[in-house]
Amino acid sequence: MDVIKVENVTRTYKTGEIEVHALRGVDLTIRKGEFTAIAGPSGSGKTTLLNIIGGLDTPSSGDVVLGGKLISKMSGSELSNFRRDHVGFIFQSYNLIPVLTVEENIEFVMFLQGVERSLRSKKVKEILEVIGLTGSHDRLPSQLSGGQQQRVAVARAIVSEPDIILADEPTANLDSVTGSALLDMMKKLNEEKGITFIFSTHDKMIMERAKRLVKLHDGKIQSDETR
Amino acid sequence: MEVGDRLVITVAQQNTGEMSQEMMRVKGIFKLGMREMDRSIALIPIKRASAMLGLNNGIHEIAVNLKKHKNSWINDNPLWEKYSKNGNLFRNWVKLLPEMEAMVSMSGFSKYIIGIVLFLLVAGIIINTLFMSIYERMFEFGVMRAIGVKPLKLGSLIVLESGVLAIFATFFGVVTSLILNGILLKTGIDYTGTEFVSVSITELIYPVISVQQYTVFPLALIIFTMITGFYPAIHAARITPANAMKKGTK
Repeated sequence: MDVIKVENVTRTYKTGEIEVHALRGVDLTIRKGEFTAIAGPSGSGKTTLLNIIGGLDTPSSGDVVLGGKLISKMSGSELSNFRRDHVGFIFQSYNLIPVLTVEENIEFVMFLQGVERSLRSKKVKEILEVIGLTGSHDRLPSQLSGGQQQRVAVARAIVSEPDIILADEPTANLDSVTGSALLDMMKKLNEEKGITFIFSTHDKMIMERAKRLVKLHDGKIQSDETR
Repeated sequence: MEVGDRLVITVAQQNTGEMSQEMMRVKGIFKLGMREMDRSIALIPIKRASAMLGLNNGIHEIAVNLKKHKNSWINDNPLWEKYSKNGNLFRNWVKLLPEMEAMVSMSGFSKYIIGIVLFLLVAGIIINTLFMSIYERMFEFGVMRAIGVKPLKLGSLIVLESGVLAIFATFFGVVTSLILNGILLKTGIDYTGTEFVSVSITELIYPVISVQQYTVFPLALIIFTMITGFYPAIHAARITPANAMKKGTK
């Protein structure tokens, strides 16, 4: 079953007089349960593609079908609801809300979904155990190490059990041991819960473990290989 | 004209209307700041004035100080007619000093214009403050939008935030104003010895506190602040999450 369909998507940024073509006609279909890595050098358009897939950015042309719905036809509110209920994000620089505690950051999506407080607390407790941060629930992101922050970001992305998780260079700021442990955790989630993972990366470790490797170069797909 | 010059004063006598003239020497010159006043008012010793006007120790003008000063503004106050008998004329200051009335009206209009300018200035400051506060937290807003906060909810949050800020600011302003006015109500403002439109200020000036100042104006300020909060709120709600997170990390 196709969960994401990207059809001839282009994205052009204007910086003053200069036009930067981040994506030049990308076609990509992602099926449910895939563990896909989008790889390529810096400036190849990986993050832009991931942002467009997640509805965080809009394409200059082309269509993106997310869960059977055309993103361009969705209102801002519908898109927000879709992200809230079906998509989890993991960002390269963690992107935790600095003024919220670990617990508040993790439960934020559930709070938006209207999940009851007691259930939220229960789920946060469980996920903190999984990511090995029990007892850190009341700490602020600034009081955590990079690896711990990224684990919180993963917890925030998976706690509401979304259909798709989009991870932008999730191991870029981590040491190899922490990165590997996180990747194991995500692989487990993919195999046990069938969550679709899409990574944007140039980390060899992710590329090696991915079931599908899509290589981008200058805003175009260079190769697409399934293992 | 200079001090020491001679000046002939001509007046009409009170009873007969006949002209009476007397030459006097200038002892001093007042400068009231208004050319019309400076050219039309001359102060002479009361005894010589009385003689020139044929009053014979009588008086030609009585000034009445009303307890409720607002009553002196009413042109058709029955009081004026009640005492305008036997050749006497009783008039309020509005009729006697129309230029003063014009000055007061103009001052009221000036206050209105200054009020509008101040409100626009405050609006600019509020919008600027809210924009600065939004840009500081652009990254957070980007993350919030990315994980599912609706644009409308984010916008409402900013408008509400501006409302809360306005409530705190108004409370602080009202309390400060009450304290200051409380002090001035006791001490008064000392402008004695100065003149305004040829009227000497001889007593202390005390502030007048109206209920409107502490109800309508603060409420208007809160509503006005919330309205000005709409512009930054719309801006924050419209920005795409990817752009917001980029701006926040810059």
